[in-house]
Amino acid sequence: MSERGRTYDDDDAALAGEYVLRLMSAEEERAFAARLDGDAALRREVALWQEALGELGADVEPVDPPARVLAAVEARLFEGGEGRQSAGGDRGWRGLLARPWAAVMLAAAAIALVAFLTVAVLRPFVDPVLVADLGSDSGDFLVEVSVDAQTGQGRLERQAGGPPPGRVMQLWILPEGADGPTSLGILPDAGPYDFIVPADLRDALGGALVEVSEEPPGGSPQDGPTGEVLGLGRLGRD
Amino acid sequence: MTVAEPEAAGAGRRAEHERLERLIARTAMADRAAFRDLYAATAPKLFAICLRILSDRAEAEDALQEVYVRIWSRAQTFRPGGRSPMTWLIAIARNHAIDRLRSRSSRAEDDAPLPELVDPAPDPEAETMAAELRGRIAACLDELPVERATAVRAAYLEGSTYRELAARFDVPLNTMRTWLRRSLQSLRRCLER
Repeated sequence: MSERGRTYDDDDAALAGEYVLRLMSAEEERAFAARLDGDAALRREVALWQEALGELGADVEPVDPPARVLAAVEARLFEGGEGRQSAGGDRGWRGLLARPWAAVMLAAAAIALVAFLTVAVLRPFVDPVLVADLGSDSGDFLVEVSVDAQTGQGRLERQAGGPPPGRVMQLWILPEGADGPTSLGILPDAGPYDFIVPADLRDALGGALVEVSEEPPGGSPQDGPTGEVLGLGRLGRD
Repeated sequence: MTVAEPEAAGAGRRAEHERLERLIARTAMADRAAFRDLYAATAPKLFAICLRILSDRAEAEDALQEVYVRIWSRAQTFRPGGRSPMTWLIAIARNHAIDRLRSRSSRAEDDAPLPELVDPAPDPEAETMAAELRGRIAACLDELPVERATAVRAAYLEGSTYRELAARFDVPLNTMRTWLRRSLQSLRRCLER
């Protein structure tokens, strides 16, 4: 199999290439995809072919599509509802507070939080702090965010930049696999900002997207950012 | 034209790479303006790929529409930092166009939906390796006999099946299979060098 110190299996390498090229029958594709789940070496081969062969696609001469395609995409995604919204509708805190049972829920959540914190304090120490630098393309905006994944306590420190006149800055988080972003609140005019990540989002904080957008006073009127994104990053270990 | 050009081209490419990563990440946050920018930056390339595979303008337009609906909903699964964002987008377009091409010929006998091409789970090692390999495929294809390199390109760019390739190069099906497998093994060895 792996002769001459090769780091991969010759046959599997060719199979992975056939899979990426889509030369397999539907049945073979399914069988190969099933193997991928439990085989990191095979996944590596697939990634390698995707990247290497992707070059061939990148060299294709571009052709401008007619404007109706984008119009159709946007109509499908955005008309008659909010793109990627879940059936539950209002997910934001504002929507939650508008409901009568919300106070009960919040109280229960607060009790759960206290219980969680108690357990967290008694746990053996593992550094739970995740950080992200949220910057802009141009470099004229930068804030640093750190979150304790166990307690959900977070802090944002401003380094550079701010909102346009008459606008405010709002902090958002989107853990992997979440349906949409959750607001972490509106930043004060100056200085650091302390926030709490809701308990139900804390399990999936590693790799979560965090961003600051500029919004009208009072914050975004929707469940997601509406203004320009000022800075964005992913939470990870320092 | 100058000596500095490769470096400048590399930097330009990296900047474009980062810009696309950022647009995909913002799209993941349901940022419609970013999604529109991502479309403007990448749709001509993805449309060209759909056209190559489907060789029918109307169908390529339908395919492109579906591709961007998928990009919108899958943007959250993209992991920046290793793999090229353009490769990720191209894979979505190419796989969808090929699925359409195949469903055109297959009849209702097979009710099962064609499998989505699985996105391999994030694997930092694979991503680093893939990044190092970027740009080597052309040189490695040049090392293959011309018609075999053409067959690999046709399989990638036109979504040709073994049967179509065998007809095109006028060789038996099994010969084409053997050709391509050997070519892939040679390519793989070349890529690792």
